[in-house]
Amino acid sequence: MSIRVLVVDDAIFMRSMIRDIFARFPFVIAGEAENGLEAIELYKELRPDITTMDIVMPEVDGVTALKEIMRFDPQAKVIMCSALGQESLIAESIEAGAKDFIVKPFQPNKVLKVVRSVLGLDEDFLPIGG
Amino acid sequence: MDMSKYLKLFVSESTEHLQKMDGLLLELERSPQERSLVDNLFREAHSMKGMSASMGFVQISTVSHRLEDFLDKLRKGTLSVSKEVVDLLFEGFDLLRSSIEEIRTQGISVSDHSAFIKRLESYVQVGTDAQAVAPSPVSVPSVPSPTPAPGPSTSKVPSTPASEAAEEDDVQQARRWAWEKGLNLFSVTVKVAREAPMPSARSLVIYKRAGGLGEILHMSPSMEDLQGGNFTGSLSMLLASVKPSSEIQGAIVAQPEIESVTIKDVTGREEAAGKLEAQPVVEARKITPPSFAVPLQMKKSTMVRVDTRLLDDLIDMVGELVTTKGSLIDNSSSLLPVKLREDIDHVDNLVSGLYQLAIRLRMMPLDLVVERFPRAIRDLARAKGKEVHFEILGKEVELDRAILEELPDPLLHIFRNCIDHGIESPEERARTRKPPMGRIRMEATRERERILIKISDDGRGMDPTQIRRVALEKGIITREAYGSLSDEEALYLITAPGFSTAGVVSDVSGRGVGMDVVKSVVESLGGSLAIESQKDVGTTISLKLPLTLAIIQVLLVGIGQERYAIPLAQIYRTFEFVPSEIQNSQGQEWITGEEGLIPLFRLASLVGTPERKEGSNGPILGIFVERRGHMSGLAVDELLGYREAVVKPLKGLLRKVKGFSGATIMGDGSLTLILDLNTL
Repeated sequence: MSIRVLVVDDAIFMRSMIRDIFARFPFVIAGEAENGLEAIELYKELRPDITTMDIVMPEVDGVTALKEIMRFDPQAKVIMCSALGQESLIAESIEAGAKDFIVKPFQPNKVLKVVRSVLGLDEDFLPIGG
Repeated sequence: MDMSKYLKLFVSESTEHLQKMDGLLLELERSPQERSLVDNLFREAHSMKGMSASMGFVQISTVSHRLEDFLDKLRKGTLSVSKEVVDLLFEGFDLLRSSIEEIRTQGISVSDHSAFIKRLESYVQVGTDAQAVAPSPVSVPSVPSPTPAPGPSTSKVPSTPASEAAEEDDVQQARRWAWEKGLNLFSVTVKVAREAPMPSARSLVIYKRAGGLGEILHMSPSMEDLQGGNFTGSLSMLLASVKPSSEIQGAIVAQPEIESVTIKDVTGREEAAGKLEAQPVVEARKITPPSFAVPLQMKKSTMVRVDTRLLDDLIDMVGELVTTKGSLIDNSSSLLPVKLREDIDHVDNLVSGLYQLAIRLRMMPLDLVVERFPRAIRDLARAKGKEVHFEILGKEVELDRAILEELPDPLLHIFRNCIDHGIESPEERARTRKPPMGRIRMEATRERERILIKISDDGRGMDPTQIRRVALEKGIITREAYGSLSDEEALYLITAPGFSTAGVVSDVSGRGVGMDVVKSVVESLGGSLAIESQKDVGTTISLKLPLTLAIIQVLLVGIGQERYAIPLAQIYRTFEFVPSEIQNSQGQEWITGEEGLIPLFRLASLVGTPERKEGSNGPILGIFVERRGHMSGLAVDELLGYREAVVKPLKGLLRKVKGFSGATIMGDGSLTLILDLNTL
């Protein structure tokens, strides 16, 4: 019984890091997208359990993609990822339906805590050190 | 988190970003109105910031951040694109590039870029918004707060901009409302973790989640307060809910970035006693993890990233296979059973096919080496006070990476020559009625088995008369040659060793890469160089290169205990002579051949090996070869046979050693050096 993750970020480097954070039970990476357009397509195709969404991306940015995904699936669980300085966009995303956010540079434990919180997982089910 | 494994990926991605940024900025320089370029640059700087911050490289992150802010101002129109702006940005990109290089070679970056950062900041006029590093004034969009309960009195709707905790009045109002709905009322205070990077956004999430636990009848700070940046790190709300306080507290404290949650039951039991007891207790449902049946799906991809060292190893091995196969065929005689000979033939075909396939794995587009050129040429031209328009055609053409790697230095040298000697200053061009901007074009085309790279400029061209004269002065040609060389032939004199050191070249060009080295590199790769030029019209240098490092035919020769390989392409024929046939003149040995008097060299002395002492009159083996444009005789000890050889170019320090153009691995695994007769 695994939790499927869709990772959206335009930097291979960041996707690689996020992939590694989720390389543990009970997560599996269902797919990766490098811009908002791909994110929307992949979301519709894969229906992941949780999505990490970078904000600043080419083609279609994260906030726009989020809105489209929420329109498609009001139950979608999307976590916005951003660097410092984008607080207003994060706020806009929360208002648009994103469930939570994480700030770069990522710390794996923090990321997992956010995910655990968004998915409502038991602490026993997903113990996180630190 | 162990970051070291991401280091390579970080370096390669950062390099790609910086490359893109250079390209974008060059375009922006030409078209300052193009907004999309600034947007793209902004995004690239943003990515750089995020990546370097993740890796903990503070200086890089800070510089990227400042550049991002700078670009943001350009985006918004607060600053406009000007020459100083472009130069500043280029400088910033170069600093980033040098830091990334430090990281690539040493793992850390120690350079201090604070001086540049100060200049960047001082360039920007006053009136910009607050620094983005510290919590920026948050503009939380004004949206309706979590649905306010209509409540008993509509005037005191909970979204009042009160910045203090609920007044006693508010509490009373809320109590009444909750009591009517049969809900408990709690006063909840949440302290957001001090290190939370975006406390306002975090508060927003807390409010939203609380709204899912019950009805928020009062909140402080309000949405407007968060918008105005009045956030103190602690928020409080009046929450009406059926859930027990323990559950509410548990739900909130489980969220990230929460330092503490205090919850106080303010239901006002004395008022609500009777009514509340009648309410059924709602069981808190334990949230189970979601369950899914769909198996793992990866996004489809038809490309893989491969470590180039693996490719090189693969090709080395296939190369050895090729040579061994050659040996196998040599050693197989007609006395072998037919079946065995058939198998050997089959292996021959398979190995050739395998080699072709392996080489194709290593094919890469020319773009990889030329992508740096536009920037380099721009800088060179600026340094010389010339204006140059540079265009590249055909950069998608693919070549063996091993050849590609050898091209940057020679190509760059040719460009330097174009800029130093070819393109005239704008004033001079005006006098000859040429457009003030010189044009340099690099065009790559694929012919059937070759790549043709043409570099042409519309500068002043080369003067054959002057070249002839300089060559004569430098002793490169004789008086007779001076008279007999045609204009076309004279142009090639610039590739003669020793020509470049004349006063014709500038400081930049005379760095150990001269046209002689360019020719040498091209030929060592199995290619050729051609030069055409017309006075006042321009010059075109053409490089013909094979697609892949060919398997070349070589002749193995022995000197004493050592073995060397000579490319068949440079050999006329072998011959034999006796010492008495040798003539001596002006300190040079000569031998008579069909073509006349031919200079004779002892390979042993050229290579620096002790000669094997022959009987004084015994026959000596020799080869007539092409050396520096003339036919020469080369005396050796043994002729060891012809071979197919996969050429491996020499790298690093070895490349500077004169006389060798590469090496090949023999079937027994040993290495044989391939001679470069021109530089020997």
